[in-house]
Amino acid sequence: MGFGLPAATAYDRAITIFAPDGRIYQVEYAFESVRRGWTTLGIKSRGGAVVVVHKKKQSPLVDEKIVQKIFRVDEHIGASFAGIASDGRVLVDQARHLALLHRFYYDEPILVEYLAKQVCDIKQAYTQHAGVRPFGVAIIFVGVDDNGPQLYMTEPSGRYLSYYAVAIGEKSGDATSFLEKNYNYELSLPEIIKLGIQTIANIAEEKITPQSIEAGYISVDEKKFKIMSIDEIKKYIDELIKEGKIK
Amino acid sequence: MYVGRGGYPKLLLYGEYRKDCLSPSLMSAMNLYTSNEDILTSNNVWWRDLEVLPGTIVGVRVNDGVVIGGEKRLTYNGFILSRNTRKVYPITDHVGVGFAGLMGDIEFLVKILKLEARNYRLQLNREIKPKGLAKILSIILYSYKLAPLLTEVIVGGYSSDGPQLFVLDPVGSLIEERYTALGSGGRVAIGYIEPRYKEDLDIRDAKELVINGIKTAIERDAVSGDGVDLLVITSEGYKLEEYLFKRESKV
Repeated sequence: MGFGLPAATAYDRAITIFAPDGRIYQVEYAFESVRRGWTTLGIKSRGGAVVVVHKKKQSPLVDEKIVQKIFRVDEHIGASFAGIASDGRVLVDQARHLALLHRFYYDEPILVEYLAKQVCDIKQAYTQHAGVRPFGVAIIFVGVDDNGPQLYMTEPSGRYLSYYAVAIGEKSGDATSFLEKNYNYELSLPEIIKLGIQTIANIAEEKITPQSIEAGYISVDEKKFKIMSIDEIKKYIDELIKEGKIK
Repeated sequence: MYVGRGGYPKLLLYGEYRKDCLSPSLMSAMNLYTSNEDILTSNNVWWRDLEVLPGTIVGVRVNDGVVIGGEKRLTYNGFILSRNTRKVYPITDHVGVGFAGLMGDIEFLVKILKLEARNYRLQLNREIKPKGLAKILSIILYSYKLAPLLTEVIVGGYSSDGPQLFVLDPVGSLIEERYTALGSGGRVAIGYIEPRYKEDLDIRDAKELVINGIKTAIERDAVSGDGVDLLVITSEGYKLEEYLFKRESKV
């Protein structure tokens, strides 16, 4: 078997084939897409939840004001992703649809966990059907529902986990260790927004600007997800510089 | 889930409204019940004659909970088929329904509602709220708009939103109320309940109000009678109580 190909390549031809060691290579390659994506992080605390994205410089001809990486899924849920942007966009649309349907059926906002679960049902199906490829994207959902502030990260395999803080994409390892050192559940909402921006500033090679950061937040009191304007982000960056936390 | 040959869930397009109105688990159950095209196209259909639904059902919401009561008589063209039917049903520990109308439709709806409530419990890991269940019921009833299920429904229960009471007509209008009386005896019962209702009644007084309201209706409504079933829902859960009125013959 293998038609003269090395053993590893023989098992990544189709996603429905296990490698002898129990791995599914196509799904693992999808994780690689995520690892190459823009750094994206989510943090939740007693005060609410945030997502922060580092937008890397593309071609100077791209109008970056329009590049959107943070999405409002429903009034009380926001999302961002790392990986193949088109896959992410399609899944966010799916998530919006699921959230709408839940309001339609039950007259209540959907639970963030249930939304993450349903999106992962879609992702899982694309690891098992013939003729398709897995979604090369990990999505972070943040929100506030009846169970309090919520943060979920969904993986390309269809697994999802609840986190206090999570980083995906490029340098997510560095970001995670920075968050591990500085995270505390008792932080207020402005404090976790700052922590998010500070984390990005710490791992970024170039200096961060209000244009290179995108962020969204939701507070426990208001329960409405908001995408921050450039002015708001500038305010936080200026504060961080004044406090000497970033250069 | 939705993913399969087609890929994604369908959008809510008008042409597919009825199909899309049903949650996935419900759709398979609904396939058992197909509507008759002849009924749909005729202007003079049998159920248009049934303007008032037989029976009496009363619901009262007070600060501590909700009391739903229904009498026990089942009639068919003026003949008493049964003196021992139940018209109030618990759906979960904290949500229940009461009906006036055709028993077949009632039993069908109770089965679907229990299915929906259990599905919700499994999927979301919490109990469905009265409002959520009432909304689902509203969607089901509306989906049968052209050949309606002949029922008027009270949905009541207790959740983190406090005690709540909803009223639905045969095509699914969804109205929140503090007290209500439905069915052929409802017009009599409401006259008893309305002047006596207060939001701060305790549960014992609310039960008495419901029983007396139904007793008043039974005196003047021929298709209601024989006893009262009470469904009492508080923060602690539900309780079902039965009171039989059958009089012994003195001859």
